[in-house]
Amino acid sequence: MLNRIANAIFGCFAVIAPLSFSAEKDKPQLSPLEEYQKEIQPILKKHCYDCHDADVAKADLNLEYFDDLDKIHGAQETWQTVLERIYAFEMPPPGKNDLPFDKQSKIVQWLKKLPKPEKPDCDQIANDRNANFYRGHVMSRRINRAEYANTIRDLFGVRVAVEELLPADGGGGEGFDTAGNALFTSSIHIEKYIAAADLVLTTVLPDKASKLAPEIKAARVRILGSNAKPSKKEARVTAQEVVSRISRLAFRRPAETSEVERALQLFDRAFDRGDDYVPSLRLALKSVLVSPNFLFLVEPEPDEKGVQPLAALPLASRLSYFIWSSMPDEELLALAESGKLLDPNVYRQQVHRMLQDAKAAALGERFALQWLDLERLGGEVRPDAQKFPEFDSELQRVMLGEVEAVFNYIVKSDSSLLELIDADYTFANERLAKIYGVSDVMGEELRKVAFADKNRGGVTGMAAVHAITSYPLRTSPVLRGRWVLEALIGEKVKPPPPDVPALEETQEKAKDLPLRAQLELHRAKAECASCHDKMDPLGFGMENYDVLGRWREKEGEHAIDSTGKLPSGETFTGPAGLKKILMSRKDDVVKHLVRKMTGYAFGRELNKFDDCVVDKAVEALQQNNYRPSVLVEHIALSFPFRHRFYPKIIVQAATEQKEK
Amino acid sequence: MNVLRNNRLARRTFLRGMGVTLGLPLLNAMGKVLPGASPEAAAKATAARNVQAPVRMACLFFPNGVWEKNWFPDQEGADYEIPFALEPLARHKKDFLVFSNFDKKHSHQGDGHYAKTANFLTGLQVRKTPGKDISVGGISIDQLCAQQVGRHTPLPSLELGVDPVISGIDSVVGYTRLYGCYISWRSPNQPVAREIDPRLGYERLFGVIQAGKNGGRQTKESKQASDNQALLDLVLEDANSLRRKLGRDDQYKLDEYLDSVRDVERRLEYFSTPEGRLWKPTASLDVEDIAAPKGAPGDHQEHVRLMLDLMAIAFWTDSTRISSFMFANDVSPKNFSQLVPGASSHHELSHHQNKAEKFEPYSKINRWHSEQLAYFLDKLKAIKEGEGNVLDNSMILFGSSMSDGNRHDPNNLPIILAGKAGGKIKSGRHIKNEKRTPLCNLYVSMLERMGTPVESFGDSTAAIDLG
Repeated sequence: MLNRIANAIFGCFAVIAPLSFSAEKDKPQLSPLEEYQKEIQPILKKHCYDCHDADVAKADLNLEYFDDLDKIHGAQETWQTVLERIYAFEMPPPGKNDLPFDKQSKIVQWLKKLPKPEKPDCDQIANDRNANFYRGHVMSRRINRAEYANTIRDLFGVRVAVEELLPADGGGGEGFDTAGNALFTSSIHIEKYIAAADLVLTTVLPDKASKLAPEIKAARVRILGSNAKPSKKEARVTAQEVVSRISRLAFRRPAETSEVERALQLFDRAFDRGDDYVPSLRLALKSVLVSPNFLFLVEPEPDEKGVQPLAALPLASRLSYFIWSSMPDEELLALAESGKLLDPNVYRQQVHRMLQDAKAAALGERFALQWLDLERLGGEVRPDAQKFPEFDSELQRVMLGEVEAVFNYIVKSDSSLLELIDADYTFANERLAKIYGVSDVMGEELRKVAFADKNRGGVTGMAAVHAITSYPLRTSPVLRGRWVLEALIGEKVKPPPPDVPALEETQEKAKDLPLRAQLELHRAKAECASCHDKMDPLGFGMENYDVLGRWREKEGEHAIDSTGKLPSGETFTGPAGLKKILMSRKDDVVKHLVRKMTGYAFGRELNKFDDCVVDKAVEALQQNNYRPSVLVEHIALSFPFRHRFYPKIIVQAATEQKEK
Repeated sequence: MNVLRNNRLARRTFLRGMGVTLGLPLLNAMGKVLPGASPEAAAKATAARNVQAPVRMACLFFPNGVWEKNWFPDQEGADYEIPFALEPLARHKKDFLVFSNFDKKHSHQGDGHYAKTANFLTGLQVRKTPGKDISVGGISIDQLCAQQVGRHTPLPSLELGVDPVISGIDSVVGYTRLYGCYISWRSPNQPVAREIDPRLGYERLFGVIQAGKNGGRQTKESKQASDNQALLDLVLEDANSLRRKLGRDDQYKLDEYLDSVRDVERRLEYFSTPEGRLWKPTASLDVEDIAAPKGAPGDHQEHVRLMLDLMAIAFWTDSTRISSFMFANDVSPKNFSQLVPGASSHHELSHHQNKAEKFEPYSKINRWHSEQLAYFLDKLKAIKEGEGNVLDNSMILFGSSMSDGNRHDPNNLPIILAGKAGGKIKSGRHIKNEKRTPLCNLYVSMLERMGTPVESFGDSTAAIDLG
């Protein structure tokens, strides 16, 4: 332990060390290769090869492979990681081949001299010129289940319960259901889209206008337009007007005559056999709702291939599905149709207008919950019903609602995103407030509640987070620590090694020790320690919260010890202390949030060409009090968001021929 | 007819890229038709004989492996002692095979779960990706069958589950979580969505879409069905003209849409054309004594059983002959404390670290899964069919994609095959394979019994002798 503390203290010198080392001029000058072979490789051999040679190659890292400089320069990202892990005293794992201070600084100094991975400029996206064997991403993607429900809501102005009809979607890219490559269509989808269209249209366009709820009545009037009861003669022309108007909204672009005619064939089919006007119209509109032009966010291929700016209409859809998870409204659509949207000032104004619209709540609902990995709460991850009878679907909704509400409050008031970490308020209703020990909140409505207690406020104090990072019957500092690292700081934690026999014996003996003592035994093993040293302290900082997020001082008979000590040597106590630690790493937290939101907006995995967008966004946030509008604007205005790459491949007519 | 034949040819070529090598010309699934015989002659020959009930196939997956010591029998052959985790199956002992030493070599690399589950029924490599370029190496065995015998039934196949697909990626291991949510793959790159709501599943089997079968009789439903048919025709036109406007990367996603629309069209057509089956199920599709279940229940066991009921009904009515079912997504942390005393999170317990306090409840969860299989086999046995019952005419694969959950081993997979495939399996034994026998060898044997023989499947090296 002493050794580690010493390391942590002396580690500081490593930063300034390079000066003194480079001053050693009297030593005979070694060539870079000689330097590596004579001074660096022996250290690696002694302290790293045990795990990272050709045979073992833990974490897929084989350092033995690097026997010349070309190989090293060809793997800049790998060496960057090596530097980060050694510099942070995470490697070699403590207790295993400990690296003496002088060797540590020597290797850090050498690693720092290596050429940094190249950062491309901001006005680039990956394409076949700058990336080898580049395969594009699916950008004309299917709208996901939540987007489908929102789009129906905004198309007709009525919320119809269509969501449970449709199969759930998986995630891809940076972990969101906006990734086109990971959104699949099966025959079950088509069947459900037909059923959903039936349900929607019979709801918003019922046969008779009488005895309708006001919102349905309004929707019906809006759909039918000025002539709700056309004569037989007028019927087709009127239907044509309706179908064309609804198709424009549904397809997010003006409908072509041929498309309208196609839908009208169904109108004719029904009307000619004697169906009434409204049911005949419903059949035509049903085909609009099952059409791929509605179900897919279409980005047509321009004549000119390669990297191209997006046309105004697809850009409008990208923007509205990013901020609203729904279709463009009339204003945005009209600006896209006229092309004015391509004016950066107009575009920027739209971004800000959209953020102030109530529909921007989708950012909390869709982005924040997926980013923080809270969507599984109440499904696969659920507190035990017997031990925690308080947890029901209502409480689940409120818990998630709190996260959404806080996120959306920050967006709406354009206050600092850092409040996600250390706000002195939250949103709660009576049930949730009770969990938090706040007594004067009444009723079901979530409302802003101020905290004097520094232990609350921010996501680490939220019940949904405590519940999702617990096992059904107990809390787990490991899961909580891992969550903090992965969801907030953006660090990846390796899965545990498969079998740790020595540990079991010790743990058999340690059965009655408090959880912390058991975990410390576990961490005594070097290969466990490198990760658990990072995770567990963070998780212990949250041990005062039980599975449902209630404050506690004891677990069973053991008093909760919520002190934590990080590999860096920093120590802290309890949730309030944890928040301070997170604030001291706010650059990491913000960068991770930026990456996540960028991935959400782009609908794909980020690559090195996006680094610049991310870095610039972080800078912009730092200079502008971390205001969410700055981030959203930055992403929406970024080059990759407004452009796409179209590979130059001649489309084979063969498949189309097959259709005929 | 010509169109169909061409399609079939194209499909055969297509399958080659999917980890499957087709051997003999496709056999008609309904009878023992010799290669080369004309369909008419074959039909006559079959009709002359007593028409045999078709073979059904279901693939049931449970997550997180097993506590091996309580799952695998010690003795080989018929006289083995039923191990703890299989005890609920004791009453069916004569009707299933239990195997040991099945392996999936392509799952030895990659992460602990996703690289093992997504390819449970394909046997090939799962590509490591958070979402782009998703691939499980090949088509899954159920979908392969569905493509070949699916045309005989209203639904080519029925994919069922209990939990919704979960979003997100596992950033630690670099795989999208959806790999843990699908075992049925229509192609290496396209998973098949599944139904998790028993009521909606019921409607799918017996709802509007079947209404077309009333033939001449016009009802509200049959009108709707034929309207839907007309609608899909037009929507296909939409899709085809849209396809021409898209770039290469986007086209293949739209192709999924096109294929799916065609599948649904085919279902609609199925009912509007005269009945083609020589063999008649003992229950017809419009059986009125099958009560529709009410929504998805909160109780896990109840939910599982409703879905298995649905599968039994689908087999009984010959609505489909192929089905797959996932007890849960892989890595499922489902809380079992209500169903299994002393248990909690399934995934947590599967990492038992050889501690009795964990492996005991873990093993009991394995046993609970066997109990559900026993329940399902009861159901199938209760449905009489010809001389025997539906189970006699089925192959029910039941298993997990890893052996020991603590080590994530893809060798010695826990695998059971219940049913006799219409007398083509000698069940009631523990078959101890040579170590590292590819699981796909079993799939080759199963495909043969489905009337869709292949030379190889996935990483198969031979067939398993099922008697």
